[in-house]
Amino acid sequence: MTALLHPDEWVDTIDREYLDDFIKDGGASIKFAVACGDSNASSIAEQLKQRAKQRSYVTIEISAGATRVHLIDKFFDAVATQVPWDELTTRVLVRFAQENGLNIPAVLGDSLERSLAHHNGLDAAFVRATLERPLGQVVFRDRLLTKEFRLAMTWMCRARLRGGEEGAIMRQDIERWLQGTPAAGVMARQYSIFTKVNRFNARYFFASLVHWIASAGLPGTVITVDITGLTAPRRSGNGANFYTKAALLDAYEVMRQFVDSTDELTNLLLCFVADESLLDTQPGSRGLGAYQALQNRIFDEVRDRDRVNPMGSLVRLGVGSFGSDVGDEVAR
Amino acid sequence: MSESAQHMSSVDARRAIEALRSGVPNRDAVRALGCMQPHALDAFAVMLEELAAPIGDHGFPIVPGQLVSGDFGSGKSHLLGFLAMESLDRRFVSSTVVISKETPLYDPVKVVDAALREGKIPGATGSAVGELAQRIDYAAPEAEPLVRWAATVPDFFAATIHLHRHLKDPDLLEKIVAFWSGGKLGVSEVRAGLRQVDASKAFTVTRLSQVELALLRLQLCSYLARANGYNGLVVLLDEVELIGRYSLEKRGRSYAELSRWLGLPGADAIAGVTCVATITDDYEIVVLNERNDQVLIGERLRTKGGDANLVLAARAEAAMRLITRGHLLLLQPTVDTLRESHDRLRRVYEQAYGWPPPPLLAERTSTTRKMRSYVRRWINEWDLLRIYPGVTVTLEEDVVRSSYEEDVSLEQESEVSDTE
Repeated sequence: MTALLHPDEWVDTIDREYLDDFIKDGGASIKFAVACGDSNASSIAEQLKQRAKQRSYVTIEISAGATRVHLIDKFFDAVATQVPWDELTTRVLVRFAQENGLNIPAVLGDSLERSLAHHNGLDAAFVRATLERPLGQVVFRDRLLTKEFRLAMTWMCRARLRGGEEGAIMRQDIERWLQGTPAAGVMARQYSIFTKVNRFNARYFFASLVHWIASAGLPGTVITVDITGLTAPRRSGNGANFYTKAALLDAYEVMRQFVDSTDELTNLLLCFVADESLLDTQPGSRGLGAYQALQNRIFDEVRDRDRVNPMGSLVRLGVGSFGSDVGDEVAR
Repeated sequence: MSESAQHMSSVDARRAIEALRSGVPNRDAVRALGCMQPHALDAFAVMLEELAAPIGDHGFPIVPGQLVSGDFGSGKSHLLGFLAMESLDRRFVSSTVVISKETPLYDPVKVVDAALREGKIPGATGSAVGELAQRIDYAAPEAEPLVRWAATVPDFFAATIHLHRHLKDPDLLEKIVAFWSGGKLGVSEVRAGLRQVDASKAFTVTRLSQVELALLRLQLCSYLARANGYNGLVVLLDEVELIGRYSLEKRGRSYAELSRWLGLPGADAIAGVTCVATITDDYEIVVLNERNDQVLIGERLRTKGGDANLVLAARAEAAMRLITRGHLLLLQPTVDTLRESHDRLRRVYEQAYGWPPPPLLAERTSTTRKMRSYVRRWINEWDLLRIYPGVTVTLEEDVVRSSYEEDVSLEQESEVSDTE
């Protein structure tokens, strides 16, 4: 029988070992939490999300049932849709304003430049010029952001500065481009953004996005991805995405790429939450055994007989113990 | 080049430990643990030296690559991680591609596209080609080899270089750089650009095949690198053994592509690019011998007829001979190297968590396990002892065996978004 770790204990460990320091200090980690026995994947994800919220992380929830997680650009779109862009740009601009000696009012209006101008007894055009400088020097030159993302964030900041209808249109155009809305690519050209988010660049945009969130002064990003439906062998009939074998392998490949790319990621905890079917290591199965490259990276072939290592890449969560005897040969 | 743990920040040390939990030796882990494969490092140093040589009138040289073999968990990916860092430290553009469903070795376009996407230059994020293209100064002496090479390539491609040099249209310039990175660019768009710079008559722009374009893009990346003061392009191909799960025909094409990447004679190698590839050491027995690839692949291709298939057969057979007897075998850990790795990892763990991990190597220790197993066991045990002080740790380990069972789903095209 294989030991299990109580979900509460795991969430406590993640909170203490990751959210409290490593992630907010710039680290990144990809975890796979497997709900075994009677434990529930959604409630594990929810617990993790709540803990992250308490620490002011940006929290993103994705479900393989609703988002085609085997398409990395769709994955990015789903993330981008949940990012509090306005909050981020406000934070960045407020920091620039403070660094340039401006006082910040308690309530910020729709147009940040007018709010700051009014509060500081200055002309709005002067405030705009003052904050355009760090936009160009800091945001636009941040080499940890891809070029298109830098442009997008520069324009988002400008939108926040200006406010009003002009700002609203700018922000909407950029957000729609980030979210992969059809035809948004055409609108984005007026901002000198000529490339849309696609499967070849989505990972770079993702890395830029999590870096941007941290740049805004937040501890980082926690993303929970419910992949319980991924391994379903047939359509559920409830409208959830069904993954063919090929799509399943593509989804595992997306996960494998995340695991391999932590060098490029900062301030991120990405947690895939699954059910026990993920643990099937038979090559013909729909579990990890279907995709050796991912299995080799995350599977807990080395484990303690009596307890789960809560720091593991893959953790088995539940109450008590379950499953077949350990030490079974695993065909890779 | 290995970095002492005490010089690592605790965040970097933790990054290293996190990566090692996944068996993915990241930059920090590789720096901290170093590399104990001196024969592989020596061979690689020679490759880099050859690639960094001044470019003569005939362009970049062909620098044959290296095939490295080792058992699962013996440290192949770690070696590639180390070579990637060496490449960057020696001012090469470095690209690591894991052979996967998305990057099947039999499809040179996909592998080249991945190599360009994954290309890294020090201190920059995103596309290496994009960064290099942005920084190039065509008037500088370093750009002369690029300009000379551009005069020898098919007009479609040469025209894009000419346009990048002379055009002011930002939209088209972006498209050209995207095209160099693997994107699409129409003949009409190129012709329109040439009209803008009064060069319509200088180029006869016609379509090229995707394979031809891919190989040109790869070479261009090397020339762009040299034009920016870097030395060339290093491509590291990991997990080549995945080709053992393809059908016979796709295995044959994969072997032929491996020949090309490794610069074997007659393989239409790519000048300006050198490559190290890894493969499991039981591949020869399980796939080449038991499935009789060395006979059947050539037979199948020759039976199909045509010059192209004859060439493919020859290339495939050359790669199979290399797998059989031309590869470099990773050294098994000795007691000394094991102890060194253990001690270094202990220091990294302590730096990561501010907690002194106990030594876990007995005075008399054997080296029967793979390095991956040792590393995972050490980290697991330290984690448990740190989080549950006083607990007794009893580790067990599943036996992991390679499977080379054919799987056609690996050959199925990936779905693309409806927005593409």
